[in-house]
Amino acid sequence: MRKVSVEVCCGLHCSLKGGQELLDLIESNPLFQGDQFDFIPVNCLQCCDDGALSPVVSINGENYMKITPERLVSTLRTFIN
Amino acid sequence: MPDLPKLSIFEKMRGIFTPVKNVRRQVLTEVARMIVEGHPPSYIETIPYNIISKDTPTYRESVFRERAIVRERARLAFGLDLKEFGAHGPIIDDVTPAMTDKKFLSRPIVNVIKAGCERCETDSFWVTNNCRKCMAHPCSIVCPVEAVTIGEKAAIIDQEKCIRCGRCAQACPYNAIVHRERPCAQACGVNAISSDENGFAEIDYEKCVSCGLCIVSCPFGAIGEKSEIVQIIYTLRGEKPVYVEIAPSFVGQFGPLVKPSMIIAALKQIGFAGVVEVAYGADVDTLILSRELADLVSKKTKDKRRYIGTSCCPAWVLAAITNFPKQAINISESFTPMVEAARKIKKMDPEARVVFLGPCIAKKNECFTPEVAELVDFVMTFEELGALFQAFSIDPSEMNVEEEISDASEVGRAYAVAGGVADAILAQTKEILGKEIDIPFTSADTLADCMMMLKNIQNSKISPRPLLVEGMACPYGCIGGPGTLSPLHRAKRKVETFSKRAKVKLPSQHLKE
Ligand code: FES
Repeated sequence: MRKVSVEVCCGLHCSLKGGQELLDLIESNPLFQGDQFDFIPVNCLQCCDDGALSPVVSINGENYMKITPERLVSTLRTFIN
Repeated sequence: MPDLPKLSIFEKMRGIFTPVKNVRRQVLTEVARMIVEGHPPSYIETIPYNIISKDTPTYRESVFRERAIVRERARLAFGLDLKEFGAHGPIIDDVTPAMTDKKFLSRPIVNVIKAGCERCETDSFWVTNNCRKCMAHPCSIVCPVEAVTIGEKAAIIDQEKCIRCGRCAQACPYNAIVHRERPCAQACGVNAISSDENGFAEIDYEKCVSCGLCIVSCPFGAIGEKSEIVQIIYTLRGEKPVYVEIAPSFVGQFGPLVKPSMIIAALKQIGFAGVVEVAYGADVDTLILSRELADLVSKKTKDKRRYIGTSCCPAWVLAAITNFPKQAINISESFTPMVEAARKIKKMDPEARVVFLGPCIAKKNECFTPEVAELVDFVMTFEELGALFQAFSIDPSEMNVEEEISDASEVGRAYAVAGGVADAILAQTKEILGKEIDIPFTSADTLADCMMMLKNIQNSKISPRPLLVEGMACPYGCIGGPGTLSPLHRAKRKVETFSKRAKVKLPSQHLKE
C-alpha cells in the first residue's frame, strides 16, 4: 500500500491562516489514524502568493491552495482504501 | 452521547482557525503593509475592499455590512477610537495623526464594534425544537412564575415573566430547553458586559480590566482591541534603537518549525536592535516575592499582609483591586516582569525605545500607569507581530538559527503556564529559607475563578489558609492569552521544553542583589 504524504504548510503565511490548526485537525481525526497517512509540517511551499492563497496543503506532491478544513477532510477521504 | 469533555467558553474556539481570526489578521496585515509600503493615508479607504472583495456576502447578509466592520477594525489597528455608530463620514479623516512614532494609544483598549454585534440574547431560557410537547410537560409544572405555557406545537416561555431560575431546563426529559448567554458576557470574568437599550453588547469601563477574553470569545468578531503596530513600524524606522522584550509564552507561537532562536533572528531582521526575555523580569519578581513570602513564613516581618498575592498579571491585579479591595492589599507591590525587563533594557541602552511582545491585551492598559509609561513605549501581541512579519516579508521559519537567548531561569520561563508563578516563588522561597517546608498556597486562572478564589479567601473557606495566592486572568495562564497564535496544548509543551533548556534553575542562581 502506498503511503499518502500530506505536507501541511507551516510557513509564516499559512501558519497565520490556520496551518497549525489544520495539522491538529487531521492528526486527531479518527478517520485518518493508522499508518496510511504521513502528516508532515513543512516550510513555505512557495505557492501562497504572500498569503493570498494560504493555507496550502500538498497531498502526494499536488498543492491545494486556500484549503478549508472541510475540503481537506473530504479530499483525504478519497485516499482511504 | 459520545464521551467528550465539556469545554468552557474559552476552549470552544481555541485551536480552531475560524473566519473571525482570518478577518482580524487580514486587517492587521493590510494595515501593516500599508505603512511598510509607504502608502498615503487615503489608502485606508481601500482596505475594506481588499479584504471583502467579493460582490456577494460571505459571512453576513450584505457586503456593505462586512466592509463596515472591516473599516472599524482598520481604525482599531491604527489605534484610533471607533467611529460613533451611525455617524456619517469617511474613515480616514483622522488617521494622519496616528501615523507617528509617538505614543498614540488612548483608552478604551477593548471596544464593541456595533456594526458587527448580532445583539445576542443575554442570560435567558429558550425552548428548542427538541420539545415534543409531551404529556407530562414538567416544564410548566415546575415553573414558579407561570412563565411556561404549552402552546400549539411546543412549550413557550414568556420572556417577560421568566425569572431565569432554570428549573424548566433542569426538568425537561428531552433537554429541549437551553440556557442562552452571550459568549462575550460569558467570557467576562468581571461582569463588565451587558446590553444597551438596543441589545448591543456594552462594556462597563469601570469594571473592564482589558483582559481581552471577550474579543476572542465572540463568534461574530464584534469586539476588537486597539493596536500600536502603526506606531511601532514608524518607531522602527526612527533614529533610536528599538528593543523588544518577549514574554515567556513566545515559544512555538509561529508554528512547529520555528525554534525560539528563529523568532529572535526574525525580530532582528525587521529592525529590532536587541531582544530580552521578559522571563528575566519574572526572575526579578520571583526573587522579590520570595523574600516577602520567606519573611511571612518565618514571621520575621511587621507586614500586615495575610498572604502574598502575585503581581505579574495586570488584569488580575486590577480585577482584585476593583472587586476585592480588602484582599488586594495582599498583592505584592512589585512591578510586573514587563517593567523589570524594560529596566534591564534601559540600563543596557538609556536611549532605547521598548516594545513589549506578548499574548496580553491588558498590558496595553498597564502602560497608562505613569511609572510603566516611562519604561515601556509600546505593546504588541504575537498576532500583531505576525502581521509585521508579513508586511516586512520576513518568515521566521526561513531564518538561520543564531545563538540561543539566555536571560532567565527555568522557573522564570515557566511563568507562562498557570501555576508556574506559584511554583517559581515556592521553589525560590524554600531555597531562601534553606529548608523543605510546606507552604500552603492556592491559584486560579480565568478571572471568574480568580474572583471566586478571592471570595473564598475572604470567607476563610480555603484551608489551610494560603500564604501565597496566584492569579492569572487567562485560561491556562499566559499561553491562553487573547493575542496568542498557537493552540494551547502545543504552546504548553513548547514552554516546558524551553524552560528546561535554561542554564539555571532558580533566579537566585543568576541574579545579583
Ligand atoms: S507560507 Fe505556505 S505556501 Fe507559502
